[in-house]
Amino acid sequence: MSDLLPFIVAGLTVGAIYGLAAIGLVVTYKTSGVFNFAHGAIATVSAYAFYELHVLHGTSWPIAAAICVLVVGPVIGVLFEFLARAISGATLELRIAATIGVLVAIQAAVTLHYGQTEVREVPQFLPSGDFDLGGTIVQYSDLVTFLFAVAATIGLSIYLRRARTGLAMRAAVNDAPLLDLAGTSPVRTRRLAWMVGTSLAAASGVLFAPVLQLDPVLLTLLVVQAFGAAAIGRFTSLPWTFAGGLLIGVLASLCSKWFTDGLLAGLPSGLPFLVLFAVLLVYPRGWLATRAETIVRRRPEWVAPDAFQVALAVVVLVGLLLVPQFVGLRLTEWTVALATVIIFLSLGLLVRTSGQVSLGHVGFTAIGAAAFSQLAVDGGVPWLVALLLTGLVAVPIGALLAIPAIRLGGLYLALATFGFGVLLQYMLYTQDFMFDSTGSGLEQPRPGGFEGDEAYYYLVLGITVAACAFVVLLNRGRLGRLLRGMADSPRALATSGVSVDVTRVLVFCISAFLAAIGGALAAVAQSTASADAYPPLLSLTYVAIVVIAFGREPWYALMAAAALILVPAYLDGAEVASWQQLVFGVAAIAVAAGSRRLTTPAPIRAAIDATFGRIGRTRPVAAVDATTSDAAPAGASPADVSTSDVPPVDPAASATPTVDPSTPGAGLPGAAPERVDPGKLEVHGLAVRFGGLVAVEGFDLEASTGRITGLIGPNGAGKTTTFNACSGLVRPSDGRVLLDGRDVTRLGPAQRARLGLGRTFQQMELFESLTVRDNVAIGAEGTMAGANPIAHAVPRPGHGATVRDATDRAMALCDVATLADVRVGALPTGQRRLVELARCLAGPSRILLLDEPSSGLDHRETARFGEILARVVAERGVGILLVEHDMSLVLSACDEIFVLDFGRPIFRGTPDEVRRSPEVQAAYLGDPDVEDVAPPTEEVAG
Amino acid sequence: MSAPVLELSGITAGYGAAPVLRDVDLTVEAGSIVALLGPNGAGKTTLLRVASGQLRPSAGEVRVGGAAMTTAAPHRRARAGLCLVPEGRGVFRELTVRENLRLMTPPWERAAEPRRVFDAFPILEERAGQVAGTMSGGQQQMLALARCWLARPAVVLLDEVSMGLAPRIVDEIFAALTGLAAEGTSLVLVEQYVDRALAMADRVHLLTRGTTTFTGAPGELDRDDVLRRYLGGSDGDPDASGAGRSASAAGDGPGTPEGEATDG
Repeated sequence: MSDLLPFIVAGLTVGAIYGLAAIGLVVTYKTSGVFNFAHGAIATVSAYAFYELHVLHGTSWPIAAAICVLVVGPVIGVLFEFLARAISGATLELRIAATIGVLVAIQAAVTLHYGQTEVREVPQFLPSGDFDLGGTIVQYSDLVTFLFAVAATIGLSIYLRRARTGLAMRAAVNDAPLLDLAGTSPVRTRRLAWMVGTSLAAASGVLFAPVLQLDPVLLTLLVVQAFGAAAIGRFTSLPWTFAGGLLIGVLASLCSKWFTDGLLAGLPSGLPFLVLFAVLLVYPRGWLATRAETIVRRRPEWVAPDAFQVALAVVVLVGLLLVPQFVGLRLTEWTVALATVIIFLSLGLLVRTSGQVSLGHVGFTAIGAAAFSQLAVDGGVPWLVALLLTGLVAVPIGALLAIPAIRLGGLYLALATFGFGVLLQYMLYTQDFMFDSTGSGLEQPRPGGFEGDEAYYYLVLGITVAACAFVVLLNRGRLGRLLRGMADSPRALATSGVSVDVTRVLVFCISAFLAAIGGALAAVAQSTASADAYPPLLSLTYVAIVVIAFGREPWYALMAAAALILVPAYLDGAEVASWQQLVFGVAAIAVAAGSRRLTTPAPIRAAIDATFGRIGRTRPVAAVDATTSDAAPAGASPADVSTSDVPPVDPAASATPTVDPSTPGAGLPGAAPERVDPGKLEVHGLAVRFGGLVAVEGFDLEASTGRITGLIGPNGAGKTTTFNACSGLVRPSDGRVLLDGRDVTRLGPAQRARLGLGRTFQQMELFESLTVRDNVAIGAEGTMAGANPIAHAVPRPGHGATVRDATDRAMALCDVATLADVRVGALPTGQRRLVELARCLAGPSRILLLDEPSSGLDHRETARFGEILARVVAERGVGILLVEHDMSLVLSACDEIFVLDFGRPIFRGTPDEVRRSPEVQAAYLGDPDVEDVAPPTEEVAG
Repeated sequence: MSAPVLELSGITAGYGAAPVLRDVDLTVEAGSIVALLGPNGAGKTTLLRVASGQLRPSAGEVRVGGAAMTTAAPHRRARAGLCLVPEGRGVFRELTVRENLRLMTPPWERAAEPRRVFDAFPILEERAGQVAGTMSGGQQQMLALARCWLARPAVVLLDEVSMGLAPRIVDEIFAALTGLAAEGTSLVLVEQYVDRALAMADRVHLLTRGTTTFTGAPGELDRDDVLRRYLGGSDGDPDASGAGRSASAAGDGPGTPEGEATDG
């Protein structure tokens, strides 16, 4: 034990600083919802400020420390609050890009200002001296550090429980608009939280300063270790976060005693990231749940005409073919740039198409370079085969990284991939199966006949063109649609029959495959590859660049690769890389603060459109609300939507059903059959409880094909909960759900959808950034993609036509055919409801669950919606289960009605019986005379 | 006479292009109780959002306690004496009952204030240490009222406080509201149980499709007409989709001839 004590003491000291940094991170993350990847960069600024004041200007350490913690920290906090507010409406990838941009920019700025050559150190400034603790010498400075951190944690915990401003911070996390109504400004509250959080980061920077040589990368990474501690504390609990910091510090310190060579030698540095990754893998989902966000993703409205894209491709290709003629010695950089295009395409598939952020992409390129060398040199595998195998090696690793994406998604995915990247560097880069520990670099051979630089350039060009074509096809095909759909609403994708987990794993595997190949090709261009060419923080720069670049695939990737690789090739000077980093960082912040990705500049768009004869198409679809236009049948008036995008419609055409109801079964084979097989949804003894609250209890329900069944009840009666239990979005506490007599209680939403259960949502779940046609098409092909990864990407022969038919018919059935090319996000409520219904009907749904379809519709739209429902039932024989507030719609449309009140069934009968029922009247009126019908759930619930 | 505690004049407001409210006036005199009625979609919640500062009107003026507040943030209006209990539960679900109350109490009043609240809602004292989100709906609603009460507002706007609550609990809530009114606080009630609201109110304000169709004393109101308006589905009244809130509504069924507005 006594020989462990020194390691424990050292570990506690470092761990206390981790803990201090981590609680600062948690405070800001919880109050603002912005996870600050630049938390470590704040510590860096503070450490250098301390150095500047204390070492260079001779300020006494207490004053210097006070300035850093009480002035520098809070000022940075105020700036961060501005940034956080600016990006509050942005999608997750942009919010992540913003703080990554700060990190990248601060690192570059510090490097530019202080240079990299001079050794800069801060002497230990805390009281010197030591004392004996059970045979171990303990430095006073360590003790002071530890006590300071503990005191700060306890103080902050008490502050958040007792003080009004502290309570306000927690209240702001919980419900900021309510805090505002309660008389406290959420903005001021958040600003205070940022100031506290950044000051803690600043304090950790000052405490770290004497521990090691000043280096922006090292300092940043040291504080990044706090992520692991924050993960232990579930990004919520301050005491647990601090304890997590101590635990990581002590374990890492002990590891440095226990493991000095072999695979585990990297464990001391890698441990926090291992912890981070492990926590995200094994913690129960509910512990890490984030607030559901509804941020509308805005994809560029303008897409260059195909003719232009083809012309551009030809011009670029010809240019690239001529490159070896004029670039001379820089041909290697050009080759690397081409390979980098593949890497950016792979990252774009994740970040740009599917809205998922990978912060470990450099890891895949490192794996690619190492695996390729091992295969081609040591394994003697033929070159091209080795290249393909290299890609395949990365696939299972990509799949592993997809696990946090499946479990937690969003931010946690970004964190896990970041942890993975750093872990890879610390633990595996130096292993023999990667770059080995000698640092001499791995030989990267070229294939026979392509040894020359020029020949190899053309080979890479060929592969890059192939990769571009592959990614372009993926993006424009079914997978691209599914990925964009997933970015908008995973829930809607699942209820369309797609196993979203498969989609997520698939995109990660494809991305990993491409990144590894790109990494290998770039390494081969340089003939050798060593570990230091793959710093994990470079992944952050990659993401920043991918977010800044504009244009569709592959253009953004070409632009990104040129900016990253070619610009420094043509600019001399030691500081170019730092300047470049600074520009990327600042640009990423600016783009994120604008809350949308850059688009092609307007004059260029106009010029392209003018040249390629598509005048007037550049105007974006205007957001309009047709609910006001009482005079016109909604959806029929071309004036409702920007005229440039919607062809004029003959009002008569949409007033009469486009599909003649008198001819059912007219013709086309499709995903949606002409007439569905009979089926029945049954619910037996359903109970759903949330904690102590009973949402539904003892509910029996059935809905069959060919009729409309109503489910009504006052607000909060448990109708939507019942729907969620039926469609698999909520797991019942008790009871069973049967579809055609088959128990589906344990099946997920996608499986149920494939069995014929479709649904719409009260808060509509649409793929906002996709067109009406693509929305409906996903309904048609969701079941085809299902859980099959190959069918995700490659439609079976004939499926394309089937999907098109089913899409067209569903759009016609729901009167939205004229809107086919309009983005759903731009449509008014009435038409959105119809699009959601059409999406349901395009698939094989036999029973549709419609949740308040008339909400937000005016009476005309409601009436029309009712007609369409009747038509759908009559023509296709589908069954509908309808939750609805509009009693006239319910009473006129339904064949049978179930009534819920306080989660319990109180009545079942025909519309007439419901109309006459005193129980139903009592439920709606709250009539005290019949109070007993409403069981006192309040008591149970408490 | 002092200035009205809340004065909305010429309010036009909405989300996106379509105005939900068109040129609506609402005045709440000190100590009065106003029932704000109208079918679903008439714009009642929108009007409360405009009053509380959560939605900026495209035209019109908001005055709280006589002071112009049209563009003021919600917290400034709260400090000027306006309190909104929003639809759903107006509590901080992750904070305990005591923390919810403490948030509303300046430090110097800490000793005295909870007593006042706990006397009115004994259940809250029992559950002072409980996390608010784990309480029942009725208890949360009481906490929301208690929080509001501590702020000593001049006017309280209540959006469907009885929603989802058992009748017995609604009785308790209304008893508490009566107590609040007895202290001289003005109330604006948006309420699904029309009769309860009418029984309590001294003024009625009827909104239909975003415009005022009646203002006056409860006795002047043609109650049957109101109930018909709540029915929904009749031709001339597109927004009336909040059917079924009354017995006569459920009994009438669809296709009832529309009752003309009895503009006061």
